[in-house]
Amino acid sequence: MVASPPYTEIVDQRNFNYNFNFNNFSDSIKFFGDSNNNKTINNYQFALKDFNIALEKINSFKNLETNWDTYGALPITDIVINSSLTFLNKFKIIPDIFPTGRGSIQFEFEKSNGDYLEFEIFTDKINYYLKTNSIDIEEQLNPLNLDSILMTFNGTTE
Amino acid sequence: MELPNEINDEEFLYRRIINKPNFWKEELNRHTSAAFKQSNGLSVDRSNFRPESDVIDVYKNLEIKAVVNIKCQDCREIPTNPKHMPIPDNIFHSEIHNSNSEVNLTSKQIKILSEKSNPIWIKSDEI
Repeated sequence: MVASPPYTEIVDQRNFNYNFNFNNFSDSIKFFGDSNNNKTINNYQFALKDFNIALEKINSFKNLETNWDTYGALPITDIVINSSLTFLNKFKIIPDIFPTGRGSIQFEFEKSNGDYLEFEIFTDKINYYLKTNSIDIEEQLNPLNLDSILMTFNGTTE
Repeated sequence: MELPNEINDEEFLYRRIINKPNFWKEELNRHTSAAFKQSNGLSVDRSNFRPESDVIDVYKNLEIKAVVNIKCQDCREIPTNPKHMPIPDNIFHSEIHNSNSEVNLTSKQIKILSEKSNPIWIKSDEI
């Protein structure tokens, strides 16, 4: 029986450098994805328990019906769900994940000291909001900047 | 019954937090800002100085986790723009907008609104 690689090695296999121009959102999502990911996850599921729980949570949002939030929210579209599933590949630490009443899915990290980072996945873009003691920025995510954003928040790219 | 068009600074604005899907962050014992994201303006109910219990009673029959409130003055100081916008079945309905000219709130505004809001009723754990 072949020993399974450590979790970090599995995650690193998913970090590919694509030479996209990011002229459109689908190119951006491809950057975060990995076509071999299913095989990797199936082989080493026990090492990706949290990741699979997050996948299930995102998939569960498919069941949200009109007015699911009691304020008239529409169902979350397949585009947003699929983009979120792909975007999740980029995170070594699994964020808190929530649907929103404006049709997006929100990934968020919040520290006890108040530092906060959220990503909001829409049908055509991903926005982020980062707040620390010294930074307060909200803008559309350039996929090439994701690692630096995570580094700023975490001190690592995890 | 007709309410004053302008919401008084001292009035509270109320929003319900549903329990499915779960918007509650147990480790912080409060809701995520995602619970305050909505297409167009953020729907709330103005108190018009009603007893808080009257507001909670309206929501209790719904599938909710909590009721939170925020003072109108706090909203304006962010700044955001609370507006009284009654609808046929709810004369207290109001919305919080980005500004006088823009409806959609930014994530920053929503985060601050969320942080300044206070849970006044949590299911199975009344305050």
